[in-house]
Amino acid sequence: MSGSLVVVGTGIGAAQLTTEARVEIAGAEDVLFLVGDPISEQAVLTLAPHARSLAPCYGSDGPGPEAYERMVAAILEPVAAGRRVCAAFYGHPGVFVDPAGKAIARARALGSDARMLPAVSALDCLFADLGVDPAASGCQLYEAGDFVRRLPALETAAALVLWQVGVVESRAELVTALRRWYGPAHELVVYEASPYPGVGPVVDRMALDALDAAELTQRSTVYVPPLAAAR
Amino acid sequence: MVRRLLEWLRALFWGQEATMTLREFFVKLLEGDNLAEYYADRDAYIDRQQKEYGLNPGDGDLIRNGSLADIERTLLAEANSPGPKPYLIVWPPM
Repeated sequence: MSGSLVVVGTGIGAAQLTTEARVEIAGAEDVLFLVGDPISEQAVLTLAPHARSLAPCYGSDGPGPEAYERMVAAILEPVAAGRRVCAAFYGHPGVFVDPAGKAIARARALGSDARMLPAVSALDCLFADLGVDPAASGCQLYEAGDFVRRLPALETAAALVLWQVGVVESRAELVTALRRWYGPAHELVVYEASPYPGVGPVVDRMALDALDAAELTQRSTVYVPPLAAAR
Repeated sequence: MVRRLLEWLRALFWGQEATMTLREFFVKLLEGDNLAEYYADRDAYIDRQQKEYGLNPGDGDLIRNGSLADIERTLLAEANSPGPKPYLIVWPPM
């Protein structure tokens, strides 16, 4: 018998868990999850008391390819045994979730049905909280470390979003990379979505040059507004 | 569930007030019509949790006025005893 896999996202906060994600979590024989806050964890466990956290897969070495490989293996084991499996990840499961896509590809290679359901990502929260519409000027998205390494050409008439700014190796290099395109006083926003209903997000507006010394967390995202209005 | 039962028994036999943790406050928000009531009148909802379920006034103030960082810090501190630990996820794309 062939098992199945549905990968869902829990949103940035548990209140953003979609109806279809709830149905999949509650109906699965095996649920494996990795979420970013204790409220979302409780929400998953309420729907599926037998759910198991994937957090132990991090081991002592933290995030990285080995940890993600262990997560994929943990998800696929019950799928290969013919069970109906749901894997739930923080945010949108297709955004910055390395094991989600790999698990789906490998489940399909096993001959199992596998699909992903969309969810609320940090980017969706950013558009809502900052009141910006990516359709107005266009929007470029880069992981901050990747941006510093590759130094891609930017379209400064479009907005720029940099993910994971808080864990970039050299903040000074990031500022230098941005200074290739923007002036030192260009205002940007350090943003962090709130997982808790009624609790505001972090929205710190500052000049580009102040980013070097800004207080950031692992979840900080930087939004750089366009230099000029789009045509 | 077990914890709430123990708190209720403690309150019944020893007169100790049951207390609602910050984590329990946010978990309870997801039940029934609580989120709608919270959004309709946040202060009244928080007051009710303090009076009826023993939400600490300090936690009530935190929910009303605290920053995201303050709230996360408190949840982390709570999680050092039996509850789950919050953890942040970083997904390097490389």
